[in-house]
Amino acid sequence: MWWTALRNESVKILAKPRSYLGFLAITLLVGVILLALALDGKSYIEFVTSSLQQSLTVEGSMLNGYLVGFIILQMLVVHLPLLVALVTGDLVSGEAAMGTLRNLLTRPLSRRGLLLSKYGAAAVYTLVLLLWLGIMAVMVSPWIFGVGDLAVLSNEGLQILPAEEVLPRFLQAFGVAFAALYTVACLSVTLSCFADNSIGPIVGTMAIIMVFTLVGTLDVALFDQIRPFLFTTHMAAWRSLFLDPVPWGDILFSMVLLGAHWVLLIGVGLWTFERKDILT
Amino acid sequence: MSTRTPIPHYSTVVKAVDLVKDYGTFRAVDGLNFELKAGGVMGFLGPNGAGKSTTLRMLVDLIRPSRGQLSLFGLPYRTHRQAILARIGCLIEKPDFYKYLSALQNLELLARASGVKDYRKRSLELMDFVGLSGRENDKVSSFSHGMRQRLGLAQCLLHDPDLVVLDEPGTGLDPQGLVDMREMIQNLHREQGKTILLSSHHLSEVEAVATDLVVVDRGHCVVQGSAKALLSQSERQIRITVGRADEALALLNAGPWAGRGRLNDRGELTGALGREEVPSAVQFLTQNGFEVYAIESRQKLEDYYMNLLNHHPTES
Repeated sequence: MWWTALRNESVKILAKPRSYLGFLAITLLVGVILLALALDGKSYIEFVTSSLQQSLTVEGSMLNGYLVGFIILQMLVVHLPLLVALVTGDLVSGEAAMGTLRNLLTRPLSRRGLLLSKYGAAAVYTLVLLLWLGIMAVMVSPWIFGVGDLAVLSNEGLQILPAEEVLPRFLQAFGVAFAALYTVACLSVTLSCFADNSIGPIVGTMAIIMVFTLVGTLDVALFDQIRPFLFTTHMAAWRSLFLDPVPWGDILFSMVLLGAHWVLLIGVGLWTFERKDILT
Repeated sequence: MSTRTPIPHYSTVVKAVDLVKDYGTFRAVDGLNFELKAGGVMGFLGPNGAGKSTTLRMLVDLIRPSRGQLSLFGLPYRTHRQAILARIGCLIEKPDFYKYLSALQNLELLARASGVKDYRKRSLELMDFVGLSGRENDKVSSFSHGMRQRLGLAQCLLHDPDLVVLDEPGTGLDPQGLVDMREMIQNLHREQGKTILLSSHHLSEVEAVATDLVVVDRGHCVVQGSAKALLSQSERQIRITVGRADEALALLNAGPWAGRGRLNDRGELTGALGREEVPSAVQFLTQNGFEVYAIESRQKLEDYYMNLLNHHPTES
């Protein structure tokens, strides 16, 4: 029955016009970035590497499809939480507002099974949205700009990754980015269990991300203890996959912490949903 | 059709014992007791705010009772939720659907959620049963209220339930729609042998189909029993069309029929009188100079219901 419920949730997401906003937004944003870099990419690279020009001489061009893909990923991973929350924050509360939750909950399917199918559908949507970003970033960019070694700026300076190593690292980076984005999806589905309209969970998710990000960036001793445990601290953990050597210990910690968030958020969602009176 | 968990033989479909539902400090249902026997059509009546909708939502597990026991088909919800819901179809308040899906897609989705194997065939059968053939592929957003109400009835029959719970199925329907809805309910009861719990403010529609009645007020059960027995026990309502009705009422109130008459919203004199009292009441009026144009003796659910709620106010 869980698979049937997941199928039903997927049918609904596919049929909802709102679900395609994310794909449209990604396509437009990536299009703008690609156009800007195609027209004036050289100036952009010079600006970014201006601090290194005293000590570094670059022969040839650093601008290639992999670098553009990396830039796109970096820019858009900031926007993706909103695009994810826009759909996943509506999964329970939207149905409550429409009155369709009544129809679903009077079927011979457990409330737990129904909610888990919604968390499952949120995972599928997040994955497909990220895949679309991946196609735009890692397949379309190299097609326009060609491929080459990837130059990445890190705390240690400029690191050059050979072209043949880049694609596997992109794949792993997408895996870590999925873990982070699915945490956002779980947060919005869980908030959705408390609300009877979809605006609240979407705004609530973004507010929590903003507050946690602020707490994570403020250099205040009080926050030092909690900073490593906020999921927002690990939203950009995927970037570590482009360092040499890769800090696997840090990445493992990020993955475990994000996984713990999934368990906690899904647990809270189930506890709430099992006891919720459906009054709409 | 869906696969069902076998349950023991039952004769009582619904049994509510001391059912209580609190919303914070407000008590919506206050110690409600009633039973619905298999094969009956129960009219579930009461004024707005009486606790009807809350009770119906508890019956289909949308709301959990604060106290009391609720069993369906002889099974408690706590341990047999899915087995119970596999046997209930319901239309609670207004029929809501996914407006971005077609009528058929809506039914198919709900049929799958109900475990119906041949969900397309069953959905098409029910679209035909409720008179929506030909509109299968139209988006629900293009449907009128009456069409949604029909689709609402179809969705609650998808898994061929034994108990059908209908909350205000006639709301917003035109006269033809009301007749069609009544016929569909009668068909479900007589032809398909379903047990039906019908809550409605359309008392004439309830009267036409109900075999049993429960009247609730302020969260209590005011009366329960067979519709026939309850209506025959009640005093016959007499409607007298008389000139200067307000003066006639004042005269009756000053005499031997004090407190038993009232003016209805059309200005007619109505009252609950025994059959043997009618001639003397008419004589009393004519002797006092009033012209009596017509006398109508009725025994309708509406009169019974109004009389019951006016004379049996429950304590708050």
